Amino acid sequence: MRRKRRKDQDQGTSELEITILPDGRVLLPRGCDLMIEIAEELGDQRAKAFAEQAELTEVVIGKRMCG
Amino acid sequence: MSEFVSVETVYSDVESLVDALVECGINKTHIEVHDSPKPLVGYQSDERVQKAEVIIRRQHVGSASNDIGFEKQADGKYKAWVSEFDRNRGLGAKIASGKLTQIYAKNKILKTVKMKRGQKVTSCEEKGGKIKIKVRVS
Repeated sequence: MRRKRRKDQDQGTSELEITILPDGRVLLPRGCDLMIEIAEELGDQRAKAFAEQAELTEVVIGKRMCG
Repeated sequence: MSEFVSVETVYSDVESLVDALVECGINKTHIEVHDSPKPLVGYQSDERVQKAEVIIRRQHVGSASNDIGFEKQADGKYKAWVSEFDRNRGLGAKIASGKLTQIYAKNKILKTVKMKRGQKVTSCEEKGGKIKIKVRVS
């Protein structure tokens, strides 16, 4: 693991994890242009501001209305 | 007569939406994609006022079901039309619960990463109802 991390650092890469919850909400890690781009692709207008401020960004891409 | 209820979503990519519907168990040949909205049909073969560009006809939704449709809005996003009857079963339940949205999001993320040079999906797995995607970013 340590070796893998060092190798990643040497190559200037990092591994980020995205979580999609059962109800469709998406948790994105911050600090990466790709994540901001993903948030925008998913349709959340607040994505950029959230991605810059929060440790994890919750992107709501499904707003449901019942009844 | 079952009432249609609106399930608000931000599906904006037809290709990813169709892929998500297929992953939810709908045969691709049973998904109609139209350039202009077509009327939805109820379980008694009655034409409804609701229209949609992406339609799964009732015979492919389930017994005594109504059509399920996705109508394109002025802003390019799609709104789902699911009858009250179908909201609790099969595809309708997957739309109402967010499962379709979850799969749509997964497809959209994989597609976005694939288009970026230097980024790679290293794993994509489902555990405990959550989908976790790991991306190597350079």
